[in-house]
Amino acid sequence: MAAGLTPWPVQAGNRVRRAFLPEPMERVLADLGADAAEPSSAIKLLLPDVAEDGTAVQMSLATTLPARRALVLVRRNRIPLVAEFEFAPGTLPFVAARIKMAEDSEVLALVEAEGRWYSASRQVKVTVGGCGG
Amino acid sequence: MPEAMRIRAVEKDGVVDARVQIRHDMESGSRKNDAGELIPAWYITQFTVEVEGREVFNAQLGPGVSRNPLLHFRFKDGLKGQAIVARWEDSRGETREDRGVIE
Repeated sequence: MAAGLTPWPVQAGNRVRRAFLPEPMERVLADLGADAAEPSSAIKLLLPDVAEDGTAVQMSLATTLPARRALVLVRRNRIPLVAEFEFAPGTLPFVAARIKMAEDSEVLALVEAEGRWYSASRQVKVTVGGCGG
Repeated sequence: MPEAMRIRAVEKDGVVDARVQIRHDMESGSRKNDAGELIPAWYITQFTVEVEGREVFNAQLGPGVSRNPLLHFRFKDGLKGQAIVARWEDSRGETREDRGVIE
């Protein structure tokens, strides 16, 4: 992985540190090995159809897949990768947060389950853009 | 000193529904100040939550997460009265740790 393995001082153990870089979304997917992610109806990605305020767009993600991690990307943000969430054993594959969107864009959820990547995507219209990361 | 997080965790039917409100500007690095100069990027990069020494949730955040992030997640095996500890680290290496109690 491009980000490399770096110990996290706040937390014991090693974890692949994601780099949040201005780069095309395809590049992020390729670095993850997720460019062939399979679209899955088992991922529920909830976003508004129209976001009035691009600085805070409510996003929630849930899946019935045995997900170990999920990533959220906004295709047309300067930095497409928004966040990676890790679900420990016993943690439900669900997360909600607010994200920034610079303009109308596809939002992509990537879920890793049993060593494979799955995806779901939504198109969001943004009325006032949010300097999206 | 960064402001404290607000932690709310409620157990019901074996599942803890947790919300952590973080206070942080999450500067993206693409905004300009009144003088037209870019405001440097400054955002939380790592966020983790533990219950009884067990990590239940971890997130790596980028500048695309909104100001004052509110993270909502759910986990099993948490009991009422147990401590829930949230920590973050930002891109300047600053850290913050706060505790709550599962209700």
